[in-house]
Amino acid sequence: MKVFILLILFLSLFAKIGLTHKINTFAYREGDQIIGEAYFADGSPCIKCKVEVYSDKGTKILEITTDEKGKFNFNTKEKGFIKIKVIAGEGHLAEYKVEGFKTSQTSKPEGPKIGTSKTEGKIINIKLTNEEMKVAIKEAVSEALKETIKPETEGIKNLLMEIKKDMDRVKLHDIIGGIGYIFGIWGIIAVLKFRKK
Amino acid sequence: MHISEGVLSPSILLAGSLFSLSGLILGLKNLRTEKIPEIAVFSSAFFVASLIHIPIGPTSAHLVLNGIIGLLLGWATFPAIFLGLLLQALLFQFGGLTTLGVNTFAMALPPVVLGYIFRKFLQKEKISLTFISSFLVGFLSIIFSAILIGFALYFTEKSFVPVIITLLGAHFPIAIIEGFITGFIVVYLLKVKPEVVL
Repeated sequence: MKVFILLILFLSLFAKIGLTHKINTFAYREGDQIIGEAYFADGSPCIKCKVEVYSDKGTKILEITTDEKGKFNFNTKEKGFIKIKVIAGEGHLAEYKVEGFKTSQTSKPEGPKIGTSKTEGKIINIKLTNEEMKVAIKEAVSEALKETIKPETEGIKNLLMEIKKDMDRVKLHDIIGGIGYIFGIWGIIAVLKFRKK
Repeated sequence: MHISEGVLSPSILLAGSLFSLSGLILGLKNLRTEKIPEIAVFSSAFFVASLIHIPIGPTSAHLVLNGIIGLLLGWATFPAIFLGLLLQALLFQFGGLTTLGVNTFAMALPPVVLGYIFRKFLQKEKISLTFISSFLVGFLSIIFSAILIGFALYFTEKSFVPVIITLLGAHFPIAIIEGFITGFIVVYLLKVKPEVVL
């Protein structure tokens, strides 16, 4: 029996560095584009894996495959939640839900061109109403804002991805806890059996 | 070897659960009290074994250790593997709670049956015969488990031959490794603690 306990401890040591088949996926939305990544429990990418995209109602919208880094991206204007299924074969599958496309993001108002426009070589001033002016300024400001914060949001997104990956990794304390549970449950069964006798 | 949640159709899940349930009842009914510590040890060995991956070419396969469990525990394999799988599903999301029945059945039935067939060849005087039969139990358990998993997937994916080929291809090397592990452990146990084997 001692040999076996040693064997289990020995195996647990391996388990720390061991890889698993368990697949995970993570995706986020940027306008009408969905960007995502699929990876195994040890963090290695799922290369050329099939990615299926389903709408809220369960109909398949499209099907793509991941690239060499396990990344994928696609465009969709689906309004409801979309479900992303990554299929790694042999019954391994991961799912992730992404929020639907918000109409406010689409309704880029066909605002008038700001300032001046050239017509037949002459510069003509376009008169803008107060309302049109507001729309135009809002658009310009939001464009500029997006440009400025893009590097920062990119960094945050990468960080989120890393945190998500780390959370999906197998943890040593989970392994030890699991062994504890198993012994505990069999202990309870043993107690019940002894009581019957 | 672990089928994830959401892959199989409900009818397969139900059938798998029912089969596993009968296996569990059989295993718990025939349980000998003095065997329980042994079962607990094998149960946790199974739990940990699935985390050990052996890289084979582009992919990797993990140890299952179901062969040796079936050979030494008989019907108690069902509760032993069930508990291991349950905790794997809860702690690591390997497999899943709904597929627990199918996974338990696929991994526990072949070693139980093979164990019954090969147990009589385990003899203290004939070490090579013991090794070969243990090897076969370890090896064939993986192969038949892969085939059962393939069957379960077939009813949903409708592409039996390619699925079986990939499954067998992925598990063939691990089956050989498991065969050797089973052989060495059984021979060793027979020398130091024959009452566990016989």
